[in-house]
Amino acid sequence: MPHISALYGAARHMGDAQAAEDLVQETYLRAWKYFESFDPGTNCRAWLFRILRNVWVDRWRKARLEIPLPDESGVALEPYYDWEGGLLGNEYSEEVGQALSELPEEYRWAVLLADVEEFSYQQIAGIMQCPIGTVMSRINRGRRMLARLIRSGAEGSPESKRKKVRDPLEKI
Amino acid sequence: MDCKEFREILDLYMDGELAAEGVAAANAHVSECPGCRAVHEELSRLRRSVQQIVREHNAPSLLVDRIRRQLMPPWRRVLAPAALLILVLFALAAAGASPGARGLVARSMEFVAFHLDPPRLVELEGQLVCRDCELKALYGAKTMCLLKGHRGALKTADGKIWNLMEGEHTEALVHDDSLRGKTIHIRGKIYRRAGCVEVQSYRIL
Repeated sequence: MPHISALYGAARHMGDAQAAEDLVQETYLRAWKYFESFDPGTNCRAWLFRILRNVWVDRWRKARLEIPLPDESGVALEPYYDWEGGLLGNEYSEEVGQALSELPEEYRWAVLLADVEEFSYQQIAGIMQCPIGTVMSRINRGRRMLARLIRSGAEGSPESKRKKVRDPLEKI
Repeated sequence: MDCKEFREILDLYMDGELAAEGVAAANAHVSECPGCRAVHEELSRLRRSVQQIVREHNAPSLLVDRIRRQLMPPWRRVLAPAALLILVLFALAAAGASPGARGLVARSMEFVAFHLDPPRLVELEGQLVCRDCELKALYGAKTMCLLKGHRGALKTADGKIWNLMEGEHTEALVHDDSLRGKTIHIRGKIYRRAGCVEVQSYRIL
């Protein structure tokens, strides 16, 4: 079944194993139901990811009444990474998994779609249904926040240290 | 391009979102600046690490099966059992027509049985009989038992006569005439294709 592992991999990082199975199953059922709306000239994987994202929004985000991220479009990008000087260790897979799970969900989506699925910004904007400028800022901030979280994890920091990692949008 | 400019377009550079001239300028800067090269490499490593983490989750095969079943068109869900029913009815009707047709049906059913029931460990219960004498009684088969001696086999309640493979546990079952007619419980491996049981243990009931 094409693309199912990619969808499951992403879904698995947006919820636990059971939630991921439900998400992917519902995604395929919706895709089957609305297949007529798929334009054969476009990317099927991106179309499926858009459905996955919609299912996720419908089922989980609304249910939890999560406070959405503030509008990022007017906030300047962060040009510098604060890991300069080789702050990351050689092996940081474990920290990456943990850090990814701590990343705010909208940033996590952006990072997964850009870094793992390697969609273009245009496609990510279609999947996340937001302007390209928002995609750019989410990827930009998501990566930097991920790097900070990994670093705090790699330094063996306790939870208290982790909590110091702020959303870059948060007002000081 | 200087370091500040490069850092500002680093994400776009990484994600292949820059125009050709931007890529050329960024490439030139990376080749000259060790600091920016290191940052670019770290970001590439981070991306590979995220990819590795996410791609280690494969969709469970049960999930794939479940989705496949659910995506089966409704007409197929109805038609599959209906087709099987029609086939069985047709086979039953054909079985009454002639011995040749009955043979064909029986062979087809055997063929299905061979594939449905691969060799496996089972427990069987039945009466120990002489195979050839049973065939003589049932069909008038010409037997040589009086000359060559009887040969024990297990007749189960469904009328099937199972041959017993020669082995360390079967000497008495196959060749001891005093056991004939007794009810036997056998544990062993069945080979449906040969109508045969490889006895691992047995007890006389």
